[in-house]
Amino acid sequence: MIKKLRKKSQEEIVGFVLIIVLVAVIVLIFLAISIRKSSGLQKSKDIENFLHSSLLYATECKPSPEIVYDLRDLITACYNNEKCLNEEQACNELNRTFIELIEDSFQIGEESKYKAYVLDVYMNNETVLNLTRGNLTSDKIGSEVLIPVSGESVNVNMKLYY
Amino acid sequence: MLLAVVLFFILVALFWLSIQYRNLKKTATQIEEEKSFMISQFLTDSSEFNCADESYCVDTDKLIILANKTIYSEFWPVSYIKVRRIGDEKDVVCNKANYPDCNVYNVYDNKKISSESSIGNFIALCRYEKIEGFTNRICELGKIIIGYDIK
Repeated sequence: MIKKLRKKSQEEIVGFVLIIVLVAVIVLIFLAISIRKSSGLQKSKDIENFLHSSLLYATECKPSPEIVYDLRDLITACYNNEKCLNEEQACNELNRTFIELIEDSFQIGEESKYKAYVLDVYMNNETVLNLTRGNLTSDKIGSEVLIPVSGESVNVNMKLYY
Repeated sequence: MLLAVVLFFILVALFWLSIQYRNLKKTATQIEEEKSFMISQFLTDSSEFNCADESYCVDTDKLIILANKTIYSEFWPVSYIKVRRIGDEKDVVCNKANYPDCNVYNVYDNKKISSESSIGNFIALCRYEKIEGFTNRICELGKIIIGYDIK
């Protein structure tokens, strides 16, 4: 009688453990799927707007006294290895202007919301500018804009890591 | 055994519900943000603000003319519209006397709508300016900030 009872309770424990293991496996699969979903790149309209607006920004680079380059013109000038009227290299000016705009617009740093950023500018699939600042983490938001500049295609890609 | 299984499933259900509730709140916030983003996009593209030949661009000459006009009070469903230039430490409110040496444009203020939240969108702030005898379009980076009431 006692043996039968012991056997029955052992079976119950085994059944219970099996149910726990089964549910735990289901929960783990569910968690793994949701974590994988969130760790990818999330598209950001804020960054998209920032990129579109920044490309109109009037830079300090002038090719001649009557023309002021905006960032789109400066990308082309950098691609063509041009110089500004003040003898500054267009690529240096592009680099400086983008850093200034990004760091004025987003709080980036160890103690801030965003820990790092990456900005890539391509013209006709060639890298014109690559900026990387801070410690890159796995969570990021970003956006990419593709614009035609004087018949060429310019691709600007920015990611913020948080 | 049955009691233990029921309790265990209750715990699992509670765990699942808390995750779903967190996702629901996140989605609600996202929808609210998208709604206000659409309002700001609509305002930026409206002929009262936009540049003639560019998107993502606001004409600051128009902003100065529009400042404190009351005729739009029934037209825009927002509590206020402000535009701020990026990169300045101190706020200098723009008026016809100090323009363009200023950085905040108080475009619109509707006292009938209470402001519970606000959203900012990046825009280019453009104007035409004569530099060394040549007229150029000068664009700076700014944010259009819209105050709205959450329903």
